[in-house]
Amino acid sequence: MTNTIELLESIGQDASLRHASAQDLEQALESMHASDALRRTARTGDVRHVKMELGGKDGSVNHNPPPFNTQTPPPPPPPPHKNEQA
Amino acid sequence: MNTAPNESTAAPSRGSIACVGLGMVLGSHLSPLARSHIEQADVVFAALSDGVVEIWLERMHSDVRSLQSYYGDGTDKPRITTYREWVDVMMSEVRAGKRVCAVFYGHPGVFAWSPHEVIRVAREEGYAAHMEPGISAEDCLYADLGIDPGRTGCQHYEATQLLFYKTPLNPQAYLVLWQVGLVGDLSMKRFATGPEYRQVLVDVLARDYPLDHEAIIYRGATLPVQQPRIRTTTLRELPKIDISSEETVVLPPASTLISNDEVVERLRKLDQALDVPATAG
Repeated sequence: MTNTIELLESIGQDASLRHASAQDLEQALESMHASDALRRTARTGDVRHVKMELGGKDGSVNHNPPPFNTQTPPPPPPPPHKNEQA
Repeated sequence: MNTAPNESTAAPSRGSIACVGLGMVLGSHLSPLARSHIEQADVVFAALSDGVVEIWLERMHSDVRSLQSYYGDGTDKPRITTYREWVDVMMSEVRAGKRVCAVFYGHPGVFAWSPHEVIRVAREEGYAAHMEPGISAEDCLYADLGIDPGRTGCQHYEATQLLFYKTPLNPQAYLVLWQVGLVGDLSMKRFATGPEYRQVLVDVLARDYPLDHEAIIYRGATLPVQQPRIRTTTLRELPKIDISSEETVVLPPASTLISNDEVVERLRKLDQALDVPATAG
């Protein structure tokens, strides 16, 4: 678990890895002894593999609310109806 | 009048809060100052994009408290209730004299109600409160789609809000619509809505855009082994396409900028009157 987070952090800070080709990234992950889950995520772009490895519950609103849902305020309430007798 | 005390001069025992952004991509976007806020805090609250990022944050501080559990089971609790609870729980630590850091993904002040609200409440009660910007999904969108918002202008709307109000659109500028995946949810309880709701959005947009106009569906990366996902379709096809709540819809300009000759001529005359050299070329 720790190793995967450490690898993700180091890749995120490495200009040559962050935007490496899929083939180069695959080779780099192999040389870094990355987990199968991390390599599958890198290959497919599907974060669920890494989430599963780290014990996350995929698709759970509770634990993995999608971006923007968690922070967006509600739209303001509708304006009051005009008093027809006014 | 409420005057917020300067954070740097606040007494050590006085509570404070800093709302910081973690950026969008794990490892890539966290600023040194935001990291410092996290490391120096007594308590860290977290509202992040997923559990992987939360585990990363836990490596920076021993007392990270996730705010996600306040959603309940995510089916029948209005989100605004959850957001108010977030403010309450953060403020309770501030009032207890703690240095609190609230960590949000992206930018803490963009499409985010709680960070602004907790800062407002804290300042109103005399506590130091500060927001530290982060790299937002909007920033990533500009980079990944190659859009310069300064070229033609750019308008941003939360999709449901666009339907809720009679909003004048400018088809000469980019239109960026957030949360299209749950457009039309007036209950504030759902995390997704169906094609019939997206059809309402399309019908509203069709007043200003042709149905065959290009629509870009964008999702930025959150892990550094990912690439952004960019799909293109037409406005007409939008209801038929599954759009997740992480995805954003962009409509490029539908018409070109029109020169305002009258105002330009007025500016030229001003330049002449003030003896400003004419533009080269």
